[in-house]
Amino acid sequence: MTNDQAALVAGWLAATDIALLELNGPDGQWLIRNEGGKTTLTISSTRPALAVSASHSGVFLTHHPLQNHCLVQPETVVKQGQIVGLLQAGVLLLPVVAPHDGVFVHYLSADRSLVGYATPLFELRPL
Amino acid sequence: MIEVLSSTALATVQDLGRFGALGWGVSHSGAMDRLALAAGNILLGNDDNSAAVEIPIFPFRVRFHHACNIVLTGADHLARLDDQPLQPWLVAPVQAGQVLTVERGGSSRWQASRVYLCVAGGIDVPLALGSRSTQLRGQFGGYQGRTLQQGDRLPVGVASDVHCPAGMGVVPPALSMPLMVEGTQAIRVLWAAEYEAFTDHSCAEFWAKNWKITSQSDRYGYRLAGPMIESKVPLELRSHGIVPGVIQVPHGGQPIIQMRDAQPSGGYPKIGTVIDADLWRLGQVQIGSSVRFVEVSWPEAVKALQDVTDWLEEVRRMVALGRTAQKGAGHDQ
Repeated sequence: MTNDQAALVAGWLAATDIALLELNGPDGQWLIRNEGGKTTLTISSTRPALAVSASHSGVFLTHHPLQNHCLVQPETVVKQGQIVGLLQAGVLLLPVVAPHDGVFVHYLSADRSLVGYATPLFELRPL
Repeated sequence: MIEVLSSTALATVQDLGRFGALGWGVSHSGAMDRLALAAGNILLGNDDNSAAVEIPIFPFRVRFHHACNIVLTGADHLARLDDQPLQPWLVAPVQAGQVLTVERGGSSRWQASRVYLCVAGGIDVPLALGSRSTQLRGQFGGYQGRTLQQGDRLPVGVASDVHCPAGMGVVPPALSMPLMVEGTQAIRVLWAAEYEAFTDHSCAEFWAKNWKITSQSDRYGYRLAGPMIESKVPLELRSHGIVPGVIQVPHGGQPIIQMRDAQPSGGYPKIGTVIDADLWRLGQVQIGSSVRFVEVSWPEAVKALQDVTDWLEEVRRMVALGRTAQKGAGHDQ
């Protein structure tokens, strides 16, 4: 079962009177709730989280400089290539992206901390 | 091609401006925040003077009819590409058919008003008197000489072959070069020709008090509300040349700052002139908020202009380094 397949099933479920569908596999759990034709999909991965490290040195930002909130909240699903953090070098901002689809666990480096090459920045649990 | 989906008013096509035509009665026009436009063009590998869409009122929605790179600069509002959040001041690749929506909101650390939609290749409307900027009064330039409307289809130029890594961006100048006085946006001002014709008390109030940007403000000029500014004797002047940044004081005693679309002549006495280096800050001040004027000397104004030039050169240098770094890290587009 992939997340895309689970989303497809969630779409089908909207046309039924099934209120809850729980799918369990070796890599996780997919929980689909159907409330009057409006479905919500909750994904839980059981794979171990992997640390994602810096590919450059710079000041690590968990926020966009203009914003007060983190780019990603813990336990949210992120897609491959999604920006999870930024590395600032002077006026330049370089993206720190999710290397694959997964559940963002938490940041390993503090906001505005100076990091070097290979410094662990955040944990991502693969889906 | 970019199709305008929203019916929002006042969005216009702007480049850096139309210069050398004041003598014919044609105003500069151009982006109210020139640094935002310039930085967007640098990030996308565009010519510095490429045109973008200036968006002052939200929501604003467009559909892209071809794949391209874009960057939203200027104010931070809630932007999304289809259903995905889009971060300001960072390059974003767009696929054909995707819809960009910009709505008022966000939790910005910089309260600003105008967003710039910069596109790789620039908005490719015809040049008019050497510029692609919209001249609203004369109804030429930009897209058919007017604000954008629902259903308009904006042509996009050919993008350069410069590498534009997704997610690369710059720190907005408002954060790199902040200028605040007691929590209020500061704007640096030089004395104008009639400064000494105003009472000492009025001049003191001019520098000491906050000035509210009233709702009667637009790309032509900002009407301010604050203490009454009075001249020592009644002043009557013949109309004479004025430029963006000039602060006139009409008989009512409430100043007007000429902005990018201002007419090139006027007859009200002038108390000051916003320095060129701070016009971008003023262009981003929100209606209803306040500014504080800071008195500067000519050498200080020249230094401020050099600081802006240096910032742009630093952006250009660091973006070039960033392209190299992203290639090395395997983040090629």
